[in-house]
Amino acid sequence: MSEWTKLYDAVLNGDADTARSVTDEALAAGTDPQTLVNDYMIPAMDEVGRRFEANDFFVPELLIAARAMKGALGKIRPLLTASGVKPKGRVVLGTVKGDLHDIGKNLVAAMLEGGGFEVIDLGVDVSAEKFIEAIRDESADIVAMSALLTTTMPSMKNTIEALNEAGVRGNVKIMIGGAPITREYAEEIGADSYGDSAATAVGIARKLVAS
Amino acid sequence: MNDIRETHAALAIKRTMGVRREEYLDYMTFRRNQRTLFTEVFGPLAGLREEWAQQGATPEELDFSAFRFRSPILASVPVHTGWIGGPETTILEETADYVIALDKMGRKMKLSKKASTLPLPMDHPVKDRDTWLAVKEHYAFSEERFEEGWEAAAQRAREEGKVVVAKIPGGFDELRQLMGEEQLCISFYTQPDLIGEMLETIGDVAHRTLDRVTSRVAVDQLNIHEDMAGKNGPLIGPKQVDAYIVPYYRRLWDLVSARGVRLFYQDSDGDMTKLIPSFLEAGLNVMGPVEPVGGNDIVKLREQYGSRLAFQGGIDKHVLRKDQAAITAELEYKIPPMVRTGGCILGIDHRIPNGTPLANYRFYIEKSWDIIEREEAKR
Repeated sequence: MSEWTKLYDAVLNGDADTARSVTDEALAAGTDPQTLVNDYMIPAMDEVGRRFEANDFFVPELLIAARAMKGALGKIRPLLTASGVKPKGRVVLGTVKGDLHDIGKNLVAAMLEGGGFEVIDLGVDVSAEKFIEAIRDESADIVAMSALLTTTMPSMKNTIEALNEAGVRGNVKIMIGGAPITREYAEEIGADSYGDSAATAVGIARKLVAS
Repeated sequence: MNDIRETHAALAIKRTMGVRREEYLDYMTFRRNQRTLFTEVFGPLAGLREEWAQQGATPEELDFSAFRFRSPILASVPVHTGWIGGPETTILEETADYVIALDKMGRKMKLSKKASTLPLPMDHPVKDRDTWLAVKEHYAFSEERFEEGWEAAAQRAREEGKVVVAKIPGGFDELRQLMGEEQLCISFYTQPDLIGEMLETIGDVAHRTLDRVTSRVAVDQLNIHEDMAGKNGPLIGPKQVDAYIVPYYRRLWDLVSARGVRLFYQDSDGDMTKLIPSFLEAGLNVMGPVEPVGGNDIVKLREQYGSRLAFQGGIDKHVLRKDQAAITAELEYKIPPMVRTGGCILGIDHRIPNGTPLANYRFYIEKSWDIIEREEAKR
């Protein structure tokens, strides 16, 4: 992991310009794009998540790291797609019906992308029908739902029931999170997992995909 | 609906003065602790009143005047320290589920009617220095900042025993309103000079306005609204707070505290524990609503910070949806230490959640007073 440590450092420190230029340099030197992602970029974002959990990093640091990762990934992704490399998993993500809050969802999206997942972000105020359509259209592995308000928590339950009725529940794993959400609530409504923070979302998604 | 904030206003509760300003100020600054303060901080969430009406609530229970509280009445000095001007709010679209309006900042605001009381911006006016300069005039000092009769209103409130409050824009919250949370967080790294310039401008006009206010009328409390944290912690860390927010607070607090303002109250949801040392340095001495869901615990915070920090709130709203044993456990844990030490207006930590049975709320009020009076009798 020593050759392109500059890429790891650039992502960790949120230096988007350096992340892009080092990626260019590495690709020009013939480095395997998958190696750059797996050995430098994902470990850097894992470290961002660890520091976020430890309160050494806060949202600004997480966002600029994700931005640096995205910049570098923009150069690599076409090469990965062309060579048939698949993401770790495909996640359909959204804030549930009636809820307009997006920062928590966006942080989860940033961390999942940083963890090597492809994220299809449906935005906020997402109806059950939109989730179902996206599951079908995107061949998603995971549905991730966010809610910030106690008043919109029932939308998670309604969405899971709608997924069951539409016959797509068995195609996906479901993870939920947000300020009022608890593990008990996730179990009660039949979600597969509960994420306490953006940083833990990556580990949960990896487990769900592996299971 | 004529105004997008109508839902929020409709949820206001009827308050009566249980405590005059002198007692409140002494209690919150730990100088006097004879009788405990207890309040309903915000009131119900949208939809709860309808639930309670079906459960047989009286009109007095629905406006909360039936419940016994002991708290002061706060009166804001009618002056404007933040953004002024801009067009009147215009409703652009309304359905059964939501309202979309254009607000004074030119933002498209959306209110999810069935879920929330506050509209959220769908876009923001400031992206960079050029867009900041385009709106900067709204932070200019002018006579428009002082409503007609503001001095008389403040003096009358004081004579009536109300707590006279001056408000200033949040160091985080005002920039969030202008830029959005993500753009603001990123800008601490990508546009630090712009963040500094915006806070300096907002601080300048707030300072000039407060300078006039506090030289003419006696103010008791400085209020600031931030709402800058979630359950996992604050949106920005001590690094950003120390570098940008603390100087903004300190400058304004130094001015008003030298003129007799005794309390500096910050309203922020979520887990603020990581930022408390920074904000104490900035002069803050009261925090609310101290949400337990955010990891805050008023008993532990009191042990840690003692009389440097008073609270408003602190009791877990979610416990009201559980059984009487759970409510009792929460109250028995939180109330006795606060009765002993003072400096805390006890109350639940945010709006009363839907699904709270009326019977549980009645029990919560009665049990709280039982414990408060039992503990007060021990003194």
